[in-house]
Amino acid sequence: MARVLGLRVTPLTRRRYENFRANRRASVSLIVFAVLFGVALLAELVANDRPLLLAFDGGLYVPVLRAYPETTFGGDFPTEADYRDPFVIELIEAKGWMVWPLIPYSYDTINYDLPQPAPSPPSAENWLGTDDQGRDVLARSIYGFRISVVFGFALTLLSSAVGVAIGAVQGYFGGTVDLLTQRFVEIWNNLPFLYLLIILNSVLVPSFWTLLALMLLFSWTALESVVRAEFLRGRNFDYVRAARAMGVADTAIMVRHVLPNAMVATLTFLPFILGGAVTVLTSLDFLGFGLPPGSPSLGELLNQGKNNLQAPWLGFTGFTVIALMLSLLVFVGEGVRDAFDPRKLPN
Amino acid sequence: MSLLEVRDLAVRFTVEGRAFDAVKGATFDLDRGETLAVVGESGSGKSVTALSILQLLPYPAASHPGGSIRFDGQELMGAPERTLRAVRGNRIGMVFQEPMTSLNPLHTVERQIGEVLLLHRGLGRAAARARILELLRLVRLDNAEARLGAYPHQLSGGQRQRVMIAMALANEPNILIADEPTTALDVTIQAQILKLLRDLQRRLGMALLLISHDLTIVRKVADRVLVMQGGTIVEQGPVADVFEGPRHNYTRHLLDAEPKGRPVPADATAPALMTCQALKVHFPIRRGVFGRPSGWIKAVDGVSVAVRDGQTLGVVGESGSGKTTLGLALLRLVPSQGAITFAGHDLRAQGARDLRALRRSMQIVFQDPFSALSPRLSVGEIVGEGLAVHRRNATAAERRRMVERALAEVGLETAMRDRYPHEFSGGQRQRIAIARALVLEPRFLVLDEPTSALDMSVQAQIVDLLRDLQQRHRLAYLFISHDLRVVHALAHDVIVLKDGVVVEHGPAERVFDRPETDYTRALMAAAFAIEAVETAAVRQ
Repeated sequence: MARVLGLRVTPLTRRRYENFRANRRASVSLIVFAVLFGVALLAELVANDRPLLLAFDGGLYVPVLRAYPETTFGGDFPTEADYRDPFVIELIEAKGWMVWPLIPYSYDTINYDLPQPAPSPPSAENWLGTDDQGRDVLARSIYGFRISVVFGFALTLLSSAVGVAIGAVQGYFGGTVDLLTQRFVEIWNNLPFLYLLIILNSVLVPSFWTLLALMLLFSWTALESVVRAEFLRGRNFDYVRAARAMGVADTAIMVRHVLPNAMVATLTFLPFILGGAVTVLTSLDFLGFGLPPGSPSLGELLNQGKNNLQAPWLGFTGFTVIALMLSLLVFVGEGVRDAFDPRKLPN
Repeated sequence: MSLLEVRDLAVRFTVEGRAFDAVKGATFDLDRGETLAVVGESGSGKSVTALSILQLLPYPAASHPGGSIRFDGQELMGAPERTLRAVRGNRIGMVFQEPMTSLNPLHTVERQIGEVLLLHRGLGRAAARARILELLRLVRLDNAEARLGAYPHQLSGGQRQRVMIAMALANEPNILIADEPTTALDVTIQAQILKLLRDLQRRLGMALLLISHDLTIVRKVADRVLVMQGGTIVEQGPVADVFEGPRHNYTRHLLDAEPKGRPVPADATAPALMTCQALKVHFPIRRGVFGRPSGWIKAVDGVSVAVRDGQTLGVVGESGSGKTTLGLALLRLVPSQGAITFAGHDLRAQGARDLRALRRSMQIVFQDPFSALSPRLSVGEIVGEGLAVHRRNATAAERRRMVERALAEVGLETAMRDRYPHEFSGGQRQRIAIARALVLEPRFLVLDEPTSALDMSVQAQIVDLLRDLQQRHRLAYLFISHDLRVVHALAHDVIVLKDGVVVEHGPAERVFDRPETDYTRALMAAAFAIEAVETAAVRQ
């Protein structure tokens, strides 16, 4: 049996991988998504209002990683240097040089130097224009993409963990445990959770983590029912019975014998849960109940687009980024689903 | 000219670029009114041959490198879809092995049969209904009129198979192909279905192509027989000739393979190892929002048994008689009522920890070797799983030696330890399942139909293995089976179950030679002579 990274690759896994590879749209989408996400993860190196590297008076400085007070460069204030300040630039360039990132704006950098009132249209300086507060749209899109996807991943992982655990216990033990949990889930699922989130967010101070926790409260049910069904089916398999007859503990049986069966359904669902999480975060931001003000967020960008119809670059950018991200996720999801489908043969 | 002439039929499957020849040059004829049986082990190409007659294989994964199939002078091989549709279900009917999956679960009996009539005859509603009733009476489905609106799940296995046969007969075909038509059924119902097929054949004068692995059936029903091995026809001829004077080694091997022999004589006064008193397992039928039980299915209803140390208690009965539930209840794998004693311990009084310790001494082997082994674990992990629970102190090397010893004991090579279940045949898998039970050195084994899913010759090997192991380790077996021939070869004592109640029990010799109840007699007749006893109290 072949091994990759120390993990066993069963023939089944290999066939699934080859099925996925054979699906061109899905594998291209995965690669594009991975590249975009990789770039977004390094957003600080791509779009930043601090130079990547700076030489001053014979010394080398890395402003993207470390904060240097303005006094280092002969300025007046002991606070961190503002590298976009013409005075500071003059000081540094007199005794050295600066290497800027591709986009010399961070998500919250305001360009005071605009030729016309914000929002300003795309130009050589701001490739996708600026928003109504003079911030670079491209930089905000990159940071916004990153926070959306990271949020989506975090929520997906956590809600899968919770959903799988609860569904597993429910399905494996069945009976009263199952009955009570199932009724609870049915009621829970029918709560209008977007409104609840809005109400709760007006009480709590919204931040990345409180939003994550609140959304986790409602998103774990997506997988719970699938996993429960798989465990209900799996607990009567002969090899599960045999393990019980040998006296193997319930938790060991659940993890070793039943969970692998449920993983297929779970993995198939993940890309769609990810897409759903991103959508909900965006809609909260759009309504103004999401991430704290000033955060780079795609929903907020859309909202600005709605409020500034005279500046179509805002709406277009927001729409394009979200549509691209969700399409890629759905294509990857379809590919994964088809790869796990035993009735589909590679063609 | 014969009705069906098959010449040099070849079938090739291509999966992921690899070609596999399932049938290599099969040549045979089928005459009007004749019954031709195709026998062979699983994988010998029996079903594939039958399916290629109607061109029903999954093309293009399957292909025919050569050969010709002439039906009534007409070439079917590569014939246009129109021609084939005119033949399928009209002039050649087909009955499949598994009646549950062969019927559409969303259609009533009337609609299932009516569809065939509509397709090929364009009968109107009233005319079709009359014809359907006629057919249902022909296949002797009792209460035919009331069953017109029934869905497949409301029918028993035997009734479903009757509906399948009615569908196949709807257009009075010239040939009926029956692919293991009784394998999924109880012996008693098997006898009834075979008798029905024979009667119908005589009345309608059709040719019957019967595919079976059960030689007893073939001997009873067929005129001519065709023996297949690995995609090749190794021998064909009249049944009497082939069975009395087999010319090919493989045929001889098949004929020798039926489970034979008798259990090793044992001390009839040996102490009882596992006993139960008035054991009851009732499953609630739940209805409504809160799942309040509205009735009970009495799967096991007041059964008392005693399995003696080192001996075999055979449990026989039709499906649904509570055999398996009894075995699971004895091991406390399903909730039950009544006293269960194992080696002096009251199993009901044991706490979880003590019960776990006792589980080492009582193990179970299941019917289907394909579902009994986790597909994601290697053989070594499967067999060694129990050791991790019960032999915690043993080192990894010691455990590996124990696993190897268990594998050797069931006749497998120790090198198979690192392979996965899907690489093994059914018989080998069943050996692995037995090794998994044996590695813990148990005293009591529940064997739940361990041979039913296996080919006849493999059955005989497993029976021999079980008998050998019993002798060597002084094991007590609870041997559950609907196959009385296998029970006969292994059991010292026998109990006969019907609807969760013991209707007869006693030493195996006595029960087999002088059955006391009609029910047992009907079971015996069905199993050994394939006779349907019309008056007997067996269910349809």
